[in-house]
Amino acid sequence: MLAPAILIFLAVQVFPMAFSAGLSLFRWDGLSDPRFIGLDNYLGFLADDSILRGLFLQSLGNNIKLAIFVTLGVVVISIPLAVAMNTVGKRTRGLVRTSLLLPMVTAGIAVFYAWTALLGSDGPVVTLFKLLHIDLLAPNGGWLSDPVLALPGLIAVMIWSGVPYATLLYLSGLQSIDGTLYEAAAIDGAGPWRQLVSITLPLLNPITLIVVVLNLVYAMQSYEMIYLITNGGPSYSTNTVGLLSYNLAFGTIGGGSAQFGTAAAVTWTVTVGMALGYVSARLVAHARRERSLR
Amino acid sequence: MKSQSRPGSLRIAELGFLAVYVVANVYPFLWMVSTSFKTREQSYLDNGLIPSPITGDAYATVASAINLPQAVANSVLYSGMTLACVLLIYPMAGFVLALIPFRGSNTVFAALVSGLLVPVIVLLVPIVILVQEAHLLNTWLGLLLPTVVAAGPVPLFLMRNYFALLPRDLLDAARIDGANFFGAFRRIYLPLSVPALTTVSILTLVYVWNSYILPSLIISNPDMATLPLALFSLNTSGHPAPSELMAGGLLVILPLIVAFLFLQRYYVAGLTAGATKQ
Amino acid sequence: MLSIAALVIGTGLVLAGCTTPTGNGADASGKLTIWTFKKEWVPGLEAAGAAYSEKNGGDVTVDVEYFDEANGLYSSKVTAAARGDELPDLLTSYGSQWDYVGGNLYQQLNGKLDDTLANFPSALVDSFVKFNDSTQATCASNPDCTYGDVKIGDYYTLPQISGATGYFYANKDQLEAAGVDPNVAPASWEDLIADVQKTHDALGDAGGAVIPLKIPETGWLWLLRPTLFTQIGAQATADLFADKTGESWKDPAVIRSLAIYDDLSPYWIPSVLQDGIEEADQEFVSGQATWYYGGTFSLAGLVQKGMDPSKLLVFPMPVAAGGELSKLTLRPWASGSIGISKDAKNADLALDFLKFYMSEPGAQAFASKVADTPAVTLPASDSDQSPLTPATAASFGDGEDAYDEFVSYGPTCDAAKTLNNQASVALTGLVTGEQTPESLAGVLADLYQKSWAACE
Repeated sequence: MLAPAILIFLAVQVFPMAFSAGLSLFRWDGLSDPRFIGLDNYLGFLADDSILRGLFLQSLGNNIKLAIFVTLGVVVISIPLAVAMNTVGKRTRGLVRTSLLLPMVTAGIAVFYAWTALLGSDGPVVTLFKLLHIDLLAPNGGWLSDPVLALPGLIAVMIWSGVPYATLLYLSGLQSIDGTLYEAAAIDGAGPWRQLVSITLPLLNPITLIVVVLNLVYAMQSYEMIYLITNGGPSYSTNTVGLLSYNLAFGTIGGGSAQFGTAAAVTWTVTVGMALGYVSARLVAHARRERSLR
Repeated sequence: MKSQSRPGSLRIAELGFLAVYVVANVYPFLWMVSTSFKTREQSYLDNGLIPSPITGDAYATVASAINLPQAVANSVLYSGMTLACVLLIYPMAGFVLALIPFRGSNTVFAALVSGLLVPVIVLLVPIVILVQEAHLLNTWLGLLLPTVVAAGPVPLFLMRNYFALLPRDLLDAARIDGANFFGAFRRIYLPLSVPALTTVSILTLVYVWNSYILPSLIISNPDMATLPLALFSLNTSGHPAPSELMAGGLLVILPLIVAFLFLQRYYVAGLTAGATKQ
Repeated sequence: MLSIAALVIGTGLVLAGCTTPTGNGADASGKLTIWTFKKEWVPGLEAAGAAYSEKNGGDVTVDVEYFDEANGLYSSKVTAAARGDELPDLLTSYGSQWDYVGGNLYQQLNGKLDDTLANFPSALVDSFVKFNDSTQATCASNPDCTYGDVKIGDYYTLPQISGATGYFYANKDQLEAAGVDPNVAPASWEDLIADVQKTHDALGDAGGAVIPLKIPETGWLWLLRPTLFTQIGAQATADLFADKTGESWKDPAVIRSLAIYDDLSPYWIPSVLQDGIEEADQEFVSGQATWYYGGTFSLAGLVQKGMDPSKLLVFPMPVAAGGELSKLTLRPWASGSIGISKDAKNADLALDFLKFYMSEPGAQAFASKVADTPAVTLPASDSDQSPLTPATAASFGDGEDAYDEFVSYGPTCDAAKTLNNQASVALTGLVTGEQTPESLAGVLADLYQKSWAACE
């Protein structure tokens, strides 16, 4: 029963992954023959004297900010949303659920245009803050042209597109909670707030884990949406590691030939870092569970 | 029973929250719809929400630039095949990895979802080389295989976690009744997992329906163009105005929205099935 | 659910089996395929193909396939096809054609198209078509360069377009509305700034200027480098980029050039940092900007987006007072090098098509659909309608003091690959207000010093 998954993985996934991991040890412009250069690609952006290092660290920092705020935003919005949807009438729930579909199905260039207009200089966001006289949040060129507000703008877009999935997951989790638990709690005199905190939220933990993992991954490797919306600017304030590898792999104007090797090295450094992070989180959780069992 | 005991203020807060969310959620979409009905000129100049005059020109331009029925048919075929493969492969794998303990199951799981951690961007070139070596460029199979693998990790992740939440006793009971693992999976666990399967279907459909980069590298035969690929030809036949881009974007997702409204019935039915499982 | 799944997969596999693979190249004789990354050229290439087909009595068909370079599509496609021997008959190179030559993607053309070379200006042939001393020297200085074995005088491709970057476009209607004479180009940088200020005062944001700063390199390569060149002169520009300590960036004359660039900062339209080439074109065409900065190649996109060429005043970047050079002279370069790929199934036919395309009838067919300047020399009467003509006549030139965009200044090794990008992004700091000319000079000095060190 596991065989189809393993077979298709071996047939299609292993070669590209191995190819790209191997590539991180070569210099390759995609055209001429690859040349083995050992760890030079890694030193190219990790070594002290490299001009790439600052850019890499700044991009990684942006990734981490994205990961934290997008994940947090998605969880903080989608749990109450799912809880509220679960308690309101059937018709309202149907309406909200239908509206959830919209950000999920819209992709690519349409998202770019819509949000550029929304966050732009004459869009509703800037207009609103102008009316409220909060000039700091109403820059003349719109949020995405402002070095300070571009990243928050991008975070808002990513939360917008991430909330619906998470809400659907939470909703299915809520529906699977045994109703008798609430009845028992109500008999014990627990109010709705208390029920939420001591029954609902703990039971949603496994789903939160999924939501967190998926959003972390999404925030760490997203480049396409960022490429479309800000291309990393202004002033690298929204540059990410994914975008950096993209630029290394496919080059920018006047940037010379492609460097698939360095691009792969940048990507694999982050990938391995994330995998190690995940493994150590698992080990810590495991150790804690052992201790609490004892 | 839950909502009866709730105080009115909480109810109002809930409804208010939902209303704010729905507005924030729908606004960008409304903007897209409104822009698609603007004239070319207005769509360049005016970022407002009201088209004046209202015109269907953008849709006419898009419809005349691409072979819509064929593109829809190709997209349905591509998404349908991918979804079928995903539903066939990953719930089963998730079931095994969640409920049947064996040595190395964690390693297998980690390997199978490792694709999640690697951005597609570094895999594109090797994937195309692989498909090319297998002489599968411009074939549905050549497109299907990498798509299924790329779409697979999230479904596997979700299914494994979902099955892990279901009681194990059901499996033991079925085994005592003489069912093998596959029988237990098909007759007991699969029906119980309809909500998760629906979520997986939605995620997969969205991913595949909108996917552009991979198909554009593997498919160059215009007769096999999926909707996003066909839409790209707008780009070559002129310079699409925002109104045309929005009209095209909406035409692409319209079939998907229809499919989802249809899927919702299953979704609701599945939720009820889940609730009565005890 | 399983049985439905099985059924769908079964059907799918049958369908997949029915679809026979079709290669990218031309299998049937009489069919040619061209790949290009530039969408503005597609109608022109198709027109040239149709004219060629007509000339051959309809026996030949020419397919033009366009792949966007966004998302690395064109490069990925070429990389994969080159490895699988699936390149099309005719291939346009993205970036320098010599990288493609170094990867053995093209067939050598020496001796095969020598007559056709006479159709191009000889300066273009010497500096862009044929491998020359300076290209070889640049390659030799870069250990990662892959085309070191090519011999001087060899050629593999022909150029489709010739032109240069360094031109302001202004919307005549908006100039008139702001009380600026729409028929006279500003004589100096100071006059230009005064005019921009006038239109900005009169029309608000729509009186401003646009350049696609979402791609920050445009500000650096198109506008700052020519400014430096005219301010400090050819030799000092070369020395500046070659200074391994980076200290020359803090020179007063260099800071003055940065300040000249900064003159425009108040007048860029508000969304300038968010505008890619498409968006910048759209803003200008739709009247949301009065001034547009780009190259000769910008006109095709503007016209295809609906701009009336007769409404355009085009002029080369005017020069600020006190500089070394009194005017900006631009050495035209060629873009869109096209050649016969190593995998061409129909190399003879491809060669014959190139001969046609790179002669008067083919180039005219192209020019009839694309408002750009074909590299092939055409009779004057065909191009005098273009608003570019007076601008290029006033600025094209050769010699020491001609600015050559293709000279690669500064370190070129792999370790410095992001240098241009980082310097360009630093330069946008003037627009966001994060930098002053003085602080920027320090940032650039540091970047260049580090890059030279990394390349040693």
